Amino acid sequence: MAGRVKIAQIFFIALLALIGIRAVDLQLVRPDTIISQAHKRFDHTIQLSSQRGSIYDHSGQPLAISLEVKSIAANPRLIDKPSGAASKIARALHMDQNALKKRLQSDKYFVWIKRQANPDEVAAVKALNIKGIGYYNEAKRFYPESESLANILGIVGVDGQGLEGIELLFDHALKGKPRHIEVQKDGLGRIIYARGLPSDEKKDGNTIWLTIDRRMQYIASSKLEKAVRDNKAKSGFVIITNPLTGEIYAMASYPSFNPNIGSYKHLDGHKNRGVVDVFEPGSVIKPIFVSWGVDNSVFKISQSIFCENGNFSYHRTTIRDHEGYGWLPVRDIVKYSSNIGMVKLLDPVHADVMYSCLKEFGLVGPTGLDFPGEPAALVRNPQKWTSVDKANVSFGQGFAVTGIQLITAFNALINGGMLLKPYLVEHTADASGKETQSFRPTIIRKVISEHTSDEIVGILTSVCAKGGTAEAANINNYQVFGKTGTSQKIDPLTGTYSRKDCIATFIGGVIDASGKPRLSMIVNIDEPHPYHFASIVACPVFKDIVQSCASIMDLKPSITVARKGAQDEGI
Amino acid sequence: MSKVWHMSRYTKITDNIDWGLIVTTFAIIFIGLLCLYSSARVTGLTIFYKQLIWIALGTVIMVLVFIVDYRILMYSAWPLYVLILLSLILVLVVGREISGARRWLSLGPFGIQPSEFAKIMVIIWMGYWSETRKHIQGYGIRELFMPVFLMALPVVLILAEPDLGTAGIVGFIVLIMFLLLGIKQSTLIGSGVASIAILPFVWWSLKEYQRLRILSFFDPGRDPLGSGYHAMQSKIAVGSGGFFGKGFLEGTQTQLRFLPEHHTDFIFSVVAEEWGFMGSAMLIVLYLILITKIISLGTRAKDRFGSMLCFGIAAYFTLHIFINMAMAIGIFPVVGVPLPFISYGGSFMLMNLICIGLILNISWRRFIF
Repeated sequence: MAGRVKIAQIFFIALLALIGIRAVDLQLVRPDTIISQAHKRFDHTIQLSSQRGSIYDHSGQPLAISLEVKSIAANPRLIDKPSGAASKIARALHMDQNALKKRLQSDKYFVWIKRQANPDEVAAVKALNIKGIGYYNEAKRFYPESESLANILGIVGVDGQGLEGIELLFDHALKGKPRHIEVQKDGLGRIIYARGLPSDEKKDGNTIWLTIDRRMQYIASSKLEKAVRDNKAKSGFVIITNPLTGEIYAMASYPSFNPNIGSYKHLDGHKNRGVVDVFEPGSVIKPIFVSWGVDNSVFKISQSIFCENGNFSYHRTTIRDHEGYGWLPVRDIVKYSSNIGMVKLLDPVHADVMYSCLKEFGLVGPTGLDFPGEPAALVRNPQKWTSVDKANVSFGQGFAVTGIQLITAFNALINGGMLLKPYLVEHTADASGKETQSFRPTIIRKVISEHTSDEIVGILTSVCAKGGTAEAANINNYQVFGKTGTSQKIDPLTGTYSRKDCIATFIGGVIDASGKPRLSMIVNIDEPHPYHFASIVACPVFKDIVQSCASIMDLKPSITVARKGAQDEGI
Repeated sequence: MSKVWHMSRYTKITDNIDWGLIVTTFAIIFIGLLCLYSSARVTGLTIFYKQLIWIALGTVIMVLVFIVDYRILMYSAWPLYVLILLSLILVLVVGREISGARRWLSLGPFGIQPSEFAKIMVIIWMGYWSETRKHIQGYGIRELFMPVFLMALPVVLILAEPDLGTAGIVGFIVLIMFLLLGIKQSTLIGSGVASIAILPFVWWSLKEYQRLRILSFFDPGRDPLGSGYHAMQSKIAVGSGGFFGKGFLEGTQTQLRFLPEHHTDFIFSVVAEEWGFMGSAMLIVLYLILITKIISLGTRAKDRFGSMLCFGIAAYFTLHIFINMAMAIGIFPVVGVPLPFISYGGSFMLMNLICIGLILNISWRRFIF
């Protein structure tokens, strides 16, 4: 027995000696490696996101604000009976039970159950009293104007990152500077210790003030929606600007989407059509070529052209007017929108020169609008234009531009010849309200003389007068000017111009009592049926919007209707 | 003559007390109290004061155990066996379930762990059994069948709770005691082969979390935030102690609660972090003195019962010390075994001091008869 006891004693001593050896190793030989190894495993950096800045309209009405909402998450490792918990939670939140079960049965330490839940849902889950469920404050973006401004403002993702529109373009400014904090997590993934204080002071995001007027935007989008529906059209857009500054008062697209729901079912609705879609402008291009020709003395405004009674053979094709005209002075070519007149007027002009005219008016490259995704126009190299191509270009077919390009060019046409950069953001301010960046009207270049501009406004006024193609845009007591355009769309099946699918455009403006143009607007309706002429489809929309906006803009009648008006004022 | 005998007996009462054992024991208890104070400061000193009360109570019981002749325990071997076995069955039926395991019996406001008492019960029963069979030289299967079966029963019941650590300790105490008694070579080899053969079944019968702990011990990266967490944090604590330690009350790992259970199962890391290699080496040396003393006493005890009690208790202490420390420094899976005289826990402290009382008893009585 004594021998066996000796062995046992040696065995016991050896066990404790083993501890001693290991202690030497851990405490004396390589403590540093063990500690740094451990820090790598348990140190984490977490981000405390700052409050995303709000977006306001030019009068300070909120268009996008961040609200604090609760998100529900779980640590699956702490949930005792995942399948039972999943069915209870799924019932409370009306979720898919199987998907939730799968998530709760995982061996992760953190899974979302429902992000940005409403207070009722949070209360319902809390009432279930399940271990391992946590609630986290998160910011949810809320858009008070809903569909009306969705295409401009865009949306943010569930983590608060800008995905589209202004939210995307100004994401950096809106987001602010997040704080970082060093933490250690315990075996269950809970934060147990924060190393010091957050790295630097949290900086909330900047606020953004748009040039948009919330009320005009609402009017534009609701009237547009009605017009698209009434005309059984595919889509449409309206842009209202200040022609003297380039500010955008309203920019509506239809169809739109509800940014507060955050569904991605109908991505088509997310497009800001006035900025990202190109289309063939049609006749609205005519006053631009005319103004350029007059300004460069290519022809005179008093000059008359024989319009071939509506049928003109030109390089083995036939060019038609919707009505036959004989001799027309230049102003009436615009007023009656004669294609033949335009072709003959521009016949002596070289293609390169016509192209440079388009370029001069900003109809080739993007305008530089502060909005993401603006494309360049689709204009082919003029050296490759055939005579027929050139003829088509002269009445606005065969090349495609965006709505914002057209209204920008149009503004230069009517404001005395200044090509102004359009803009949506008026200024940005930091969280304390101090202005950080402000945007002013930017003149890109002078394109025509003031005199020519005035003359063109005169011609365009006649277009909206009795007998002009845009008579339907005329508003009592106001000097209204503008130009219609009905362009045929290329039928994707045949590759030729379709007879029934058109784009109806009206571009115009209003002069108020001050004698200056106060607003300009482009109305564009895509594939209206059964009527497809802009004069029938687009002009009434313009008229309707201007009338509704008159009081908002304090638009004073420019034409005094002598006594009756005076009496009305007296009452 | 008889008067002289009595006289001499009383003069020897204090002389023959093993003061060295008492000093060693209380030195370890003192270190334990320092660590407990340090780790309890964050959570509240209540547990520190409670531990003081347990130590006082334990010391009184130790003295009582010392006074009564240990040989009386022989008569209690069977009743104790039946009582513990019944309570081990009872705990499986009505025990309080804490995180999936039934280990505790509620006795009014107190909770007791029958498995804790099973450790001592097997030592007493084995001592009793070997005393009654001391004429046998080299035990074979025939002699061993019954005791092995009887000793396996509590181990299986504890495994069923489940409490892997305690079951292992009880099993190892029994094994060591059998080996010390001397087993026929053929029987030894046969049972060795048999136990290797049943290993896969043991693995299969383990609960998921137990397997995970064992796997994560062999591969800590497997689950660094789960079962590997304790071991990892404990290793950091020990490693950051260095040679001299961070000083009393300065251990950040424990003070900042990186380390759960630091006042019970992981208290060694508090020693190692705050007192460094000096502290942990000193503690190990104190334990070595304690165990060596108990074993050497075992060889000098008057009867086989006393010897076997000493060896069993030495095994009991050694296994606790080794598993607990090895766990804290990452060379053993986390099984939840406390450190004798140091870890917080009333019944464990009582058991430890009762053992010391028994040893003192055996040591003192060898001079009487």
